Amino acid sequence: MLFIFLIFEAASGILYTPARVAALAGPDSWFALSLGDVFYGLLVLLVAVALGKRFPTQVFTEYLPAILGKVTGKLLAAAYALMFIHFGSLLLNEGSTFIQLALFSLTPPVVLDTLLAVVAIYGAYLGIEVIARENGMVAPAWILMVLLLLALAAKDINFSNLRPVLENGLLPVLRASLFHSGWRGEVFFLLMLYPYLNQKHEALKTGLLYLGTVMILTGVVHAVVVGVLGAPVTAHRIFPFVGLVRYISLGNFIERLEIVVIVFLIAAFIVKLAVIYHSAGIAVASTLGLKNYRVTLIPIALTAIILSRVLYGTYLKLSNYLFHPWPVEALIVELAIPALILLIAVIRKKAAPEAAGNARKRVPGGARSTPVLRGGDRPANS
Amino acid sequence: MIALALAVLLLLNCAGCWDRRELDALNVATMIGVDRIVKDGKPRVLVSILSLKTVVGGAPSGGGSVVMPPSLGYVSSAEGETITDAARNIALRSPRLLYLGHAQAIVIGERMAREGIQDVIDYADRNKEIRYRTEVVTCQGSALEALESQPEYESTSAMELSKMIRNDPVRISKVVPANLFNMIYSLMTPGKDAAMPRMSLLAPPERGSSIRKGPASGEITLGKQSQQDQAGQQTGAKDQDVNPLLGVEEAQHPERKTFQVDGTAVFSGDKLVGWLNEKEGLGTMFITRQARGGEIPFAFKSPEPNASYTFRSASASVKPVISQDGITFEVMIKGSGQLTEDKNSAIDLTKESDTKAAEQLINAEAQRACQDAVTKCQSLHADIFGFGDMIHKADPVFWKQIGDRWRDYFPGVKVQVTASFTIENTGVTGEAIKTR
Repeated sequence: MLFIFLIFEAASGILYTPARVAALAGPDSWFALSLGDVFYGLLVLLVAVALGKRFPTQVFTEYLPAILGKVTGKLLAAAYALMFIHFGSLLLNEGSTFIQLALFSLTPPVVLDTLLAVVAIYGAYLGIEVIARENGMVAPAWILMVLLLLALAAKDINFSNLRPVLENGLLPVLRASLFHSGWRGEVFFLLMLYPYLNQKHEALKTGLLYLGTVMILTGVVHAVVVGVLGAPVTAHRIFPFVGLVRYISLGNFIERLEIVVIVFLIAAFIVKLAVIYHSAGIAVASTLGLKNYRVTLIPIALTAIILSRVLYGTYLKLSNYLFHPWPVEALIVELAIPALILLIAVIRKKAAPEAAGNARKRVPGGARSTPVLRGGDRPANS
Repeated sequence: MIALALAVLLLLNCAGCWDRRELDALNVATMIGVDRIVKDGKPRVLVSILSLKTVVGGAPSGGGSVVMPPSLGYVSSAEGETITDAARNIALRSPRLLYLGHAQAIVIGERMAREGIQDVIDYADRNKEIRYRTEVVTCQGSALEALESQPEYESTSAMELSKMIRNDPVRISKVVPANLFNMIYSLMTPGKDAAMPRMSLLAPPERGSSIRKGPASGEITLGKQSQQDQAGQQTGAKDQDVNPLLGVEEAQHPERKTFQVDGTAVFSGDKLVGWLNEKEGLGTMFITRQARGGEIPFAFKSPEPNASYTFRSASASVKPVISQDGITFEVMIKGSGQLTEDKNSAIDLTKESDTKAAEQLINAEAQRACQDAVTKCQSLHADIFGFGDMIHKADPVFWKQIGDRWRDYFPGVKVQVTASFTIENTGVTGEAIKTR
């Protein structure tokens, strides 16, 4: 689970955010990222785990009707299903936009979209365990790559670029932090993954570990990017991390490492997309009462591809969405609604009848009891 | 089955159909020149590309010696309304796709530099092929001429230029180097102005220079013969410009030139405002902590310089001091090196007092170089040292008051330079040769 969420951050967090964050917080962006939104991430995590503990064998969209009543619950579940699909299309677009801008300028974006979606859907079709195992391969390599690149860039760090500290006070930093928290809050996918964890009692611990790791990792990445490029240049580039890597040169022959980043980021995008499609599939299936989520995957992928073109056909549309409504939407979807649901569940004393206090006993076979999951899914390693 | 189908589908895409670019269809640029010209009363941009001559096909036919052309490059240029337009217009005379990924230098013509380089740097920055470490230089005169000048030591002038610039801080530290990233950084950072090396054309004064003569004489005759031998076999695709008949060509073009990098172009904002000479360049290199080796001549008990000091390392610290009277920058330069020249044994190095005196003279020379550089840049309103940026970082509150007017403020800034160089040794001899 740690790795799954790390790759979440990996895929789009590191790619799209540094520029905007640097524009808002200038040289302070590194601690904007490491401090402010980790707190937010913590809240999201606590809510998700608390909900997960109440309903350890069901996913979020399944137990919504139990908490809210049939009609409202189904409606909200449907809304979440749509949100997941939309989210999938957004991410798909982030991925294809990145590939197009950084690598294949002549290839039609629809083709890139389709390729990414096909691979991701195949992963989602095979189930969460396959995704987790793929990620087990990709994530460590990805972290290694980032650390290696940072080490290579280290000789060009100019520490004075990190000054002045808090030039315009704390407010811009908080704004940058809030802006970025949408990405940090993606830990809320835990709501959809909780039944698949094989060590549920570890969920909170792993989540905290994730937040800690990601805090250090993004903090360091942003510090290095700003340290090398300087805040104005960071803010002006669309992909500052790629810019950083573009500047790496060691002994005149270790250079042009952009392609390494691109390859690893594509891998990360695919994992993240697979998780999202998987969640979207399950959300749709449970809302509609389908027995198997797999039939929903292809329609979802098609919708996502079409949506990604229709809604975010140009970079301007994408960035307008990512930088303006998305942080707010994320706040509502990731934190506000789940927290509200938790509150209602507590007040109405709703919990899965068999799991009120002894969730641990049902591990690891628990996931099989839900109707949606009879596709041969087994709990993934955390 | 689905897996198999998917695998095949994915494999098909590995070829990367849309963005496929084959080497033999590329025009590999090694140097890019950008000029602003006026044609028919309208401003136009002239982009020149020094490309690699890619040899495609079999080995050269015929026996005898194969004469290397003096340069592996050839220049093509096109004009247009904007830089991109001009660069694209090269397609009007070249079947090959322009590839800028191996460009080692961007040469900006003087006129372009005076009118503003923001669009050049933005073009290069936006282009995903051009590397951040591509050198950027301004040339006196037009960039097209600069690209047409001949390299003396390397196979292409791009290679020669970039190596010269890269080696400068280690060897002489007289020219302020700048790559594309430095330029982006300097243009975008408030309180820091840009500087870049100056490239100027030079007809080599040496009579035996290969630039004046073409390849060595023996090769020319051989080349002539083989050229005649092959004349019948040659296909029309052969380029007539670069052939072994350089003896003839020299007669037609006696003005063949090479280039040198001999100064620094100073920008205020994105406009060229003046040049630094070599000594001022050295001072700038000291203050900006880029100097790593070079020469300081000085006069020891004599009106003329009679001794020389080679520093092997130098470091500097700059501290802004803001007080009621204004802003002062305290620059401390430290370095070590060796005494390399001593005319008529003027310095007695066995004496502690002479060594100390020599060191003081060296320090005075270094300080003068720095002061000269600062004075020149202040007169040009160009803060190439990044002093403003330092204030910004050290005292952001004060910077808010003066940041917008920094270029007007900068000439009034005091800079105090203190140098302390030490003579570590005197090379492989002790005292200088004494004539008796």
